[in-house]
Amino acid sequence: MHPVAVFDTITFLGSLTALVLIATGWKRALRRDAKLLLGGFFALLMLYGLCLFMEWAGITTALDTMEDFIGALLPMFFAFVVYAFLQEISGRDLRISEDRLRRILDSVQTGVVVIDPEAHTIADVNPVAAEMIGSSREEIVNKVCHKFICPAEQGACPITDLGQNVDKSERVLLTANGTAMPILKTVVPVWLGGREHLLESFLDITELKQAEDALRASEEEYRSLVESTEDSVYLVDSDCKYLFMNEKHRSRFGLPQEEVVGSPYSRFHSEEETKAFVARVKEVMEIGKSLWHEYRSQRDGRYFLRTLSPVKGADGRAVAVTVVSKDITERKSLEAQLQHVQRMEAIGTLAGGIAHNFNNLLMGIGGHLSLMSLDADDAEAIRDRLKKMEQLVESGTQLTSHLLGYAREGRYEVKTISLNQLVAEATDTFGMTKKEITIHLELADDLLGIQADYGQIEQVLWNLFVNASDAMPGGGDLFVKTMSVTHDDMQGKLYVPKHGSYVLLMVTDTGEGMDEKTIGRAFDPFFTTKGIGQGTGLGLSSAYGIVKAHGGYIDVESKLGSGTTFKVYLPASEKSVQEVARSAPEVVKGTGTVLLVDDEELVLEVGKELLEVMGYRVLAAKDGKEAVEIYRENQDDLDIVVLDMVMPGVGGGETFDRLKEINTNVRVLLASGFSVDGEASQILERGCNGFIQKPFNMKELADKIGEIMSMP
Amino acid sequence: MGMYGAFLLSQWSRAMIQENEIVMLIIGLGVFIFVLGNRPQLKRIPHADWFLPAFYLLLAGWILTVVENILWGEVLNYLEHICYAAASLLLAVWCWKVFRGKKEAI
Repeated sequence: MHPVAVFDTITFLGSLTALVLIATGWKRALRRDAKLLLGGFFALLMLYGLCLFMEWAGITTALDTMEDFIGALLPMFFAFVVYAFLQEISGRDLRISEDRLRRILDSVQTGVVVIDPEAHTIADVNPVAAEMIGSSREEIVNKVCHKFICPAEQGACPITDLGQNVDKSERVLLTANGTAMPILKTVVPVWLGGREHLLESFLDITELKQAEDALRASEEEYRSLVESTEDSVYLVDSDCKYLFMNEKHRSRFGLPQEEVVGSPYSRFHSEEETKAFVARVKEVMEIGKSLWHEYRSQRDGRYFLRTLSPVKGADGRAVAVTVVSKDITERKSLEAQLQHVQRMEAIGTLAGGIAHNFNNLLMGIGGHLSLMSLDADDAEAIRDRLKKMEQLVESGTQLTSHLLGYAREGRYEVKTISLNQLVAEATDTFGMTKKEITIHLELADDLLGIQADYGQIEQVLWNLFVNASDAMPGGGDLFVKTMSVTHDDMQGKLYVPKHGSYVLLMVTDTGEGMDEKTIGRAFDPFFTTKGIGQGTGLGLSSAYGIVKAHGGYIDVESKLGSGTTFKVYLPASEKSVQEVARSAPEVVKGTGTVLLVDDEELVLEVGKELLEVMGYRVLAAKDGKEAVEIYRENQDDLDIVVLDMVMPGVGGGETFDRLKEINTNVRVLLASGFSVDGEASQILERGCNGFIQKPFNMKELADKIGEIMSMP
Repeated sequence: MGMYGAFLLSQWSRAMIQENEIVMLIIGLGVFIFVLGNRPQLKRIPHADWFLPAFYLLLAGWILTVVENILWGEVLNYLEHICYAAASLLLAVWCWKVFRGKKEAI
């Protein structure tokens, strides 16, 4: 036997084993057709091995023909086997794909129905669709589709439009209990089982529709709210283009909504208004909070209270701005009237206090005059009295400046002053007017300066002194003390003081004191314990206002029958104190001719004397007309004109203009009891050389004239 | 043509190649091309590492049965029959794994 026969035996036995394994093994490993082909292949291989064995074992060569035949069949059969395997694999892929599709359909929360377009029947349905329809899958499958899917719209059946997609159209689904369910349906053709089908997916939009209806109703409510309001309401984007405008606001422009939406703000407003509005919109969008402001429309001059609120997007950033504009023109008018009434009332009540102060000043001046008449031979004593009288006049001047300040026409001057100096002077004057009150001064040597308006703090002192005087009608003791403190010394107050050093002024009287109720209202405006017509009720309140304006604090401690102590804390200043000159100033004398114009004969007389004392030759005119005539005649000799602003007939302004016509280089010093604001400033703008506030003293007049005379 | 080419030609002219062997080889090569073309899918057959090499061995046998008529007749004849035997064994093992092993359908 040839050794090759051994290998042929192995071939035969191996094939036989494989054949047995196919026949006896797991039946589901292969489909039957593939298994048969494979078995056939192994049978051929086995026979081929047998033929070879017979030949090479030398048993017979009769099987050679069969060997050749089988040899040719073997590769062909193998090809069949491979083809069967490929079919098996593709079949398995299809089964997996279908299974996956089934799982997807079963798991999606959208109703899915497969329709056989030829039979007009439902080929398949997923659980969600079955639940939406309200029947079981078995009850639905193979039923006519119109019975369930789109009963109300047979004319628009997608089957008639086979091959065309229906994308997200709102339809109605007829449920098993006969109700129509709103659905959002999508239909696409799909290739299933070798034929085209329709895959309909639909979503129950009942809640969505209800929400839409609710939203529509809500929108309608808000719209009617916005449209029915008397305020202008509009919405602008970040570029200040109108996105919405309510009827009220539209009525201002007389345009329909379509025409205003998208229009820029600048279409209806001036450049200046637009610029301001754009800046506010930008600010609101940046800070993300509402802002409000008063605004006067240039279109009709009306006042509006405008509130701008950000409209925030999903990311929390402002995307637009809502504007609510309330017409407050009437309210502004009423407010202005009320303020005017209040001002008049306040001026009326203040007049009482001013009269009180002036009485004190006059009393001081009168007292000095009486004493002068007694000391007529003592020149030194007279000079001393005159100095004190001048101080009183200066105080009176300051009082009038306060009045001007109250009328918002005066100007305050804040500088570093010594409270000690102010207290000493005020108490000195007060002591002279109230002989029945004994003043005890205790002034700290190292007292720090304060940043304050001298006159205003003096007013505080006077108000406190007057208050003490009123509390001690029969006389008593007034203790005035100054000292330096810090915020640490101001503990236990109702307020929390700012950190730093303070100057404390304590004013204590031995008067009748106040009960708790009176203390609580002591600083209230117009509150007074005096009878009607005897007190203004503004003294302490104005003192409170002045102290607060200076960044200070004011306290009151009092008990009935035990006197009252006022404590005034004013922020200390590290700057060096600027002395406030009170002594008679040195007057700089001059030369030249002055034309003095004033309708007040007394002022004209005193002014002429003052100017002559100062070394000037004086021509006087009692009104504007006379002044113009004198100037025309003496213009070559005249160096300066001191012109009163307010005069009957030809006023200061007109006189100035006429003088200018005569000589464009005329030098004019304008004098007025009113402040430099208003008409005076207009005259100054027209070329007037200077202004002096009445009443003025000799030095102020000399300085002003000297200043103008020295001009080129 | 070199000496080796001349030798092959002389051998070819003297060879006794049977027609059925040529047919078997041609069909086998056709199947081989078909298998190569569908190799990715056929690799998904369970235990394809046993099945496909068995085919390659059969194909080798079909080639050898032709070539043995030209040169090294004895040696290549042995190899041919070894290829058939090895292919048969590989297929038996593959059937064992598929029909008796872990149940893994195609």
